[in-house]
Amino acid sequence: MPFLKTGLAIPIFAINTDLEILKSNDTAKSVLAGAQTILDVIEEESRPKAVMNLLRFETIKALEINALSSSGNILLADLYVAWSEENIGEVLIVEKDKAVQKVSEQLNSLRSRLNDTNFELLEAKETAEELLHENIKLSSPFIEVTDTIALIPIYGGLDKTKTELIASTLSRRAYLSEVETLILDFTAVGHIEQSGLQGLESLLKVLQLLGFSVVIAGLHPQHVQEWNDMNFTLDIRFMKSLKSAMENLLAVQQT
Amino acid sequence: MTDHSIKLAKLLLSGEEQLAISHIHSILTENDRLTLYEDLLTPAMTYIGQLWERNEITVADEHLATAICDFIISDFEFRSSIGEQGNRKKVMLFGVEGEEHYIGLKMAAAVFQEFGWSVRYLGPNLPLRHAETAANVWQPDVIAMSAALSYRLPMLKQSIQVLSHTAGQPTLLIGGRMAPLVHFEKEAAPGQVITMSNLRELQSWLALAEKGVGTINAFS
Repeated sequence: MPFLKTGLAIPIFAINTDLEILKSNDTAKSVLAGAQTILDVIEEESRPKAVMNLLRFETIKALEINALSSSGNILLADLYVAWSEENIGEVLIVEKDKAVQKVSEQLNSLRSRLNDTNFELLEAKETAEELLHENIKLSSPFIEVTDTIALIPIYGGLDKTKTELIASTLSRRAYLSEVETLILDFTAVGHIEQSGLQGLESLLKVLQLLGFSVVIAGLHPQHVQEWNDMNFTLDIRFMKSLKSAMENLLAVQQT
Repeated sequence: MTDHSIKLAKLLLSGEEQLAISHIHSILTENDRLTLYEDLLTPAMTYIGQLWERNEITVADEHLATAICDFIISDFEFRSSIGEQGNRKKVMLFGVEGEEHYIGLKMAAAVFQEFGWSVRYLGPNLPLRHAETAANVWQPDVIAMSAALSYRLPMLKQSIQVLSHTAGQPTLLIGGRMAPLVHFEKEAAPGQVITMSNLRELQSWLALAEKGVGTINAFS
């Protein structure tokens, strides 16, 4: 078998029909794992594929397999086989061009970067949600100004979630206090959504049912328009500003 | 293997993500995650593995198909509304060190998300010491890991041993092609390991966990 004398930098083997290695060239010995049969130089998961194809005893052109290097690494390679009339198989194992591997590594690193970014975004989103929740909780403090009057300045825009949260904390807080009159100050309120207005209506109903007298102060002209459209049936006192509300209530108390 | 999956496999291999998505839309009558993952994508990817065994495609083709499959999952998850956020149990998912197969893992992450879990998907090939640090810091209720190739089994076993001792004593879920071959769970971490052979099994397990029955430590 003259090929075994060549110095070609490609591993070459001669095998029998039991797939046992009869001879191998120097490159095969130095580059690939030590082996009794040709399957020993093929990585475990590629063996079924190799066996299936080798046992046909036909010429094989470029069978893609993972080979095992002498250092135990996995090399993606093409396997070529030709059988002689004496049932000797000549096997060449040619390592694959690295270009594919390089592209695939780049793909992997892009994917893991995307994953990291995704992860950071997720964490930022969770933090933002917590902050928002905290913010809503703090946006309607309950301040007792006299023994009978509490002031609730409301901050920011109003939507369904926010009015629901305000409603639950406020009704509980008001119930536990000794006050009789609640001033809801809208000076610092921005846009009120339709859903927020409905939530507000049910909050006011609850407060009235609990026996509180409710004063709304500091509505903006655009709020007034929205409140008008709501068809309010509740008996609520409206004051132009917090100042006039306080003066009014204190004057009543003193008489 | 259905004709649908074979056709899908061909679209994945040709890199036609839009055609693959329209093909999926023509089959899925509703937004059914499990049908898409378990009955369409998984068989398609298995079929692609078989094509490689028959030497009809190369590893490069497989990589392209995986990337397209990944894109389809991301696209589907982006369009699906995530379930109720009330649960907030925590799960961390990753592929064991050296393991590059991750599509199944990504699908499992989506199933957890559907059940309202807080999900940390850490991707494939995560070094064990990173997994250990993450588990100690975040203290998930469940750690799900997967392995696709037989020579990851020793790594899987080591991961089970190390992670079972992390803070919070998480339940360990093993998935992936090697899951049915994992027989060492009892000795490695008694009572803490569950193997999942497919997504439907995971789905029923999560449904039970929601009700608080049939599961171990994290839910008892």
